[in-house]
Amino acid sequence: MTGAAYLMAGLRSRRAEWLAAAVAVGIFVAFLASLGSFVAQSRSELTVRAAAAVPLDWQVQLTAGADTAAAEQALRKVPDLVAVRAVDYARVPGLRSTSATGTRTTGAAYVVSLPPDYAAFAPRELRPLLGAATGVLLQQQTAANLAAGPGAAIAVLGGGSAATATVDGVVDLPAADSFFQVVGAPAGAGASAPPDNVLLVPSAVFGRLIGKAAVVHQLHATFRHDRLPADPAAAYDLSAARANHYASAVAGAALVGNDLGAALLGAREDAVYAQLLVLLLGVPGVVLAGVVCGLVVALRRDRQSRELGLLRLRGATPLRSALLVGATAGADGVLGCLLGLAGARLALRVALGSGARLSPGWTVGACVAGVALAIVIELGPVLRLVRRGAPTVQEAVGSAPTTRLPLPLRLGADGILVAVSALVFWLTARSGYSVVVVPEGIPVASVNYAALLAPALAWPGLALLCWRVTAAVLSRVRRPPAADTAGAVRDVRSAVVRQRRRLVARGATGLAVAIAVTVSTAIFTTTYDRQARVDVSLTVGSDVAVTLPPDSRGVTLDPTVARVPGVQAVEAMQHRLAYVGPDLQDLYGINARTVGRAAPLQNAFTPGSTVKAALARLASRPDGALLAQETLHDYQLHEGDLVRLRLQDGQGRYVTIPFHVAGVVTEFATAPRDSFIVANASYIASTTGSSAVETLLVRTTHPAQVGAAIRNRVPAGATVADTQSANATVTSATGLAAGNLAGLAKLTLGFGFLLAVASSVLALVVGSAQRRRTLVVVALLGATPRQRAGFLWTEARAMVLAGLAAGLAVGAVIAAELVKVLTGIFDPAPEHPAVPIGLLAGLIAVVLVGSAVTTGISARVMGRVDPARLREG
Amino acid sequence: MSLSSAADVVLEYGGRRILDGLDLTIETGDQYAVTGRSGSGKTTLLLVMAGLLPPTRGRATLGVPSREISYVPQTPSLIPELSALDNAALGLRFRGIAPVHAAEQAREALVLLGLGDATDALPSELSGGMQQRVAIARAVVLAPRLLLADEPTGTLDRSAGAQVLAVLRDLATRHETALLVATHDPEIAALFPHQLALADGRVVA
Ligand SMILES: Nc1ncnc2c1ncn2[C@@H]1O[C@H](COP(=O)(O)OP(=O)(O)OP(=O)(O)O)[C@@H](O)[C@H]1O
Ligand SMILES: [Mg+2]
Repeated sequence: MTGAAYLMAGLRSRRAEWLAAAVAVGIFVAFLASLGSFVAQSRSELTVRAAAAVPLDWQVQLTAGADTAAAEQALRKVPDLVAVRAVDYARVPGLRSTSATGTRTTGAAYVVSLPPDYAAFAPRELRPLLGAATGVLLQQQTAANLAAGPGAAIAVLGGGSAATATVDGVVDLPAADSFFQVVGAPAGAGASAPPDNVLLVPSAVFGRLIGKAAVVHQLHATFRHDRLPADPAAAYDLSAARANHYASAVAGAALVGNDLGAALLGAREDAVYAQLLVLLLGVPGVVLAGVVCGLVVALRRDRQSRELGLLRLRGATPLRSALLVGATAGADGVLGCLLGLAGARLALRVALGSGARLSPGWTVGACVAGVALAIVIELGPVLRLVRRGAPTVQEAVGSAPTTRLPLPLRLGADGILVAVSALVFWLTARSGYSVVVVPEGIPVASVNYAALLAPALAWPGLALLCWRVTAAVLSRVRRPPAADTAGAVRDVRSAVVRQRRRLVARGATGLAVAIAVTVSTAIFTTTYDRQARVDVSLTVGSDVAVTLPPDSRGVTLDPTVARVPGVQAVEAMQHRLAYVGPDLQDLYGINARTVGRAAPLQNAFTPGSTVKAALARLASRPDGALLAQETLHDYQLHEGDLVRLRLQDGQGRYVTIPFHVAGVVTEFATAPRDSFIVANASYIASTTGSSAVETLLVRTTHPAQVGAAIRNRVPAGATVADTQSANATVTSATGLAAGNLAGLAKLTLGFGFLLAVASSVLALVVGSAQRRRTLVVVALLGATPRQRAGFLWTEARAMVLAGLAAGLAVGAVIAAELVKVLTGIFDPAPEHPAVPIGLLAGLIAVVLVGSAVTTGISARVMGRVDPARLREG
Repeated sequence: MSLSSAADVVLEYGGRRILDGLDLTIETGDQYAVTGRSGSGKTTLLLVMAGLLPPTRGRATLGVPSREISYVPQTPSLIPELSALDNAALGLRFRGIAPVHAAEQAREALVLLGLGDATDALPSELSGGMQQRVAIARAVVLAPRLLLADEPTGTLDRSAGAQVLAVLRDLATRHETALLVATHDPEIAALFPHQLALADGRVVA
């Protein structure tokens, strides 16, 4: 027979086997290609997103006496530059406002000269609040300090008698930290606190206002981001190199504050976490896909061995046999790749949307891996043939399978692996789960890969443990024979399963691993999703939040405006500013007993106590206050200590009010990420004489609609935010957008479902095939189809139930471990993993239905008495 | 009463004629030995008569329900995971016989076949001949109307072979079971009232 004829004959007579093998290869290729492409794409998105979040790319500070024009000339030559603006500022002794209620004076202040189109040039630096967006602008807090708004006259101290300007608008400087950074400060010196008082003026009046104060000259520059390398580290390198090149080109006349570079540096951590996620969630799935694929392809090996024997008899040399088998395997592989590519495209489209594209490198790699897998597995029998001569068909048939545990289990490998995994986990826990360490200013994030050992060892350890436990349980199954007039022979069936426990345990273990991959991914991503939502609602304040600027005297929010259809709860909250010593902090006045109805609360918000207990303490102490850890530390305060805060009263005068420390708070609805204070609203109202409400927290299941409905009911100056609209823009502290993980989750979950079903079907088909002869014999003895099928059902039930139970347990353990090991990804950290009940129920249902269908079909197909089977040994 | 009959049965495998115009009727109480060289078609004939292999041409009909017919294959056909006793009792169990009674009868048959010490052994712990005897016991306890045994003594020594034949004879006399036994051993064949010698697909004697 020629090779081609052999191929064609094989194709025609074993169509189902070919197809099964090709589909298995296809699933493997599709998973690998789509996962790899996902990694490539999400990495480049990290760069894009990090760069987009930068308010201003470069702040170039000119050294004293430098030639501004020359420096600007050189700056314009930097590749990918978009625009340059000159910004000057000077530090003055203070600002003063005079009005009917009196004169107010601030401490040291900055006067900044801006070009008229600065807001368009760097929109993230300036946020107009009141009045005009150009002209003379007062920073929001300065406006509060000076009790001044649009139209007020402001005098600059030290600028002479002519140094006055009329305020055109009040603005917020959202990125004041970086705007007033000390350019050229050594890395790690820490950000300097932004100034409390800022006056922004057109360049035309700048000189007149500042008098003799020293002027800092800066050039602000923005660049194209779409040409940055996809990898954050490479993008950082490029940006840093350009900054260095520029600095040397102007020969020390300027220092570059490379905010773009700093942001890219920060994205490295995200890139590492993204990589870890893929390692921890994706790799187990891909390995499983490879194993399942290998097993399906190996199903044909028995038959192939026999056919090879025949070929040898007809005089084929081992080389020729190898070529023939290689060709069939190759054909399998190629067909599998075609299916896999179609599958990968579909998977990416479903998981990541229509913009997703297959990465050529990963696609080729996946195809090569798929073909190689098929060939290696199918060539196994050929090698055996070459080494040992003719294959022995008899080998596997007719004898009871051994009940001995496999060698690794006899050596106690499961216990050792689980113990070492637990030890590593404990060590990681002790080090505070610092898996990713990003040293300040060094463009390489270091990963504590040892911490990954915990899940890496837990996988094989728990899988082996499943095997051991399943085998142990099955060895104890002894059903006493009942009267059994129906001939159900339950006792006989369970005796068979007991004797086949090694095989059943092996099948159950495979199924358990497949289910655990899906379960752990599902739990992990659900937990992440929930935390991301908490993060967003923390930032927003609740599902919907209505906010006025702090201390908006004269305006108050009426909770009834938020009572629109679909609203479950509305909580009113005061938002004031309070001085703790010289520090100005946000102060939130709440009703501690009811705030939880609308505000997201987690125990992580109040370290050292549950959030419930902390709020109860606050409620029981009218003058209580929760303060930031940092504040307590800086002022040496302890619980119960007296702390005096200076607040504005209803007339805008500062009054000193005594509070007592009631606990620590690190996060709270709408609160900034640094220090703030939470106190009782009733106490603040009675002591300041102002019960004005600046914030409404609204709980609803339809944030977008409710937000829209509320928006046209609130007074001027109030902003309405909702989580749905915010979701797209708010990224968690690690910068890993929720959508990114969702894509990975969809991929892993989708293929996980597929693999879980494939594993159960595979294990059952293999089990049934092994027992074909038994079924024929049983039929010969006069067993009814029902009695015959019972033999398959008993085993299927044992295997699937054990696999499901073990899979759920292992998945839960691995998920808990992942949530802990990857704590750094979460913000805030979760209290406990979230379990997606619906998804798990779906998984269980799919596996059960798949198994039942497979067993039913097997029982029908295999129960037919085929005389040829009776002749075989 | 006709238990199984073949009328002008032709059986071909891939164009090769194995049975060529077989006419045979087995009645209650009949005892046949089927002889012939290896490859002559003994097993094929038994399968046709047992109703397990449809002929290429001609008619093969069973006169009783298939559960009244027992077929003991040439190669050992025990369930590898069950003890000798459980294997021997399995047919009875499928018929709804109480486990205790089924085990009792199976044990009796095994003792008669010289396997009284091996009831708890798994097939893999038994020799090929012992396995074959367990298969005989399993068929015999069912007390079928027709028992077809393919080389039941092929792997046995003389005394064990005699034991098997005695058990089959006993069955035939007690239950009027008809026997159709394939054997390549002329001495065994001579013990049967009727012999069917197969050659070139035809019964020659
Ligand atoms: N499934 C099959 N396909 C093709 N040919 C077959 C098949 N089964 C049996 N044969 C052929 O039919 C012929 C008769 O086989 P059979 O098994 O009936 O012989 P036998 O007399 O029982 O031999 P033995 O004494 O060795 O058991 C043999 O030549 C065999 O090669
Ligand atoms: Mg034969």
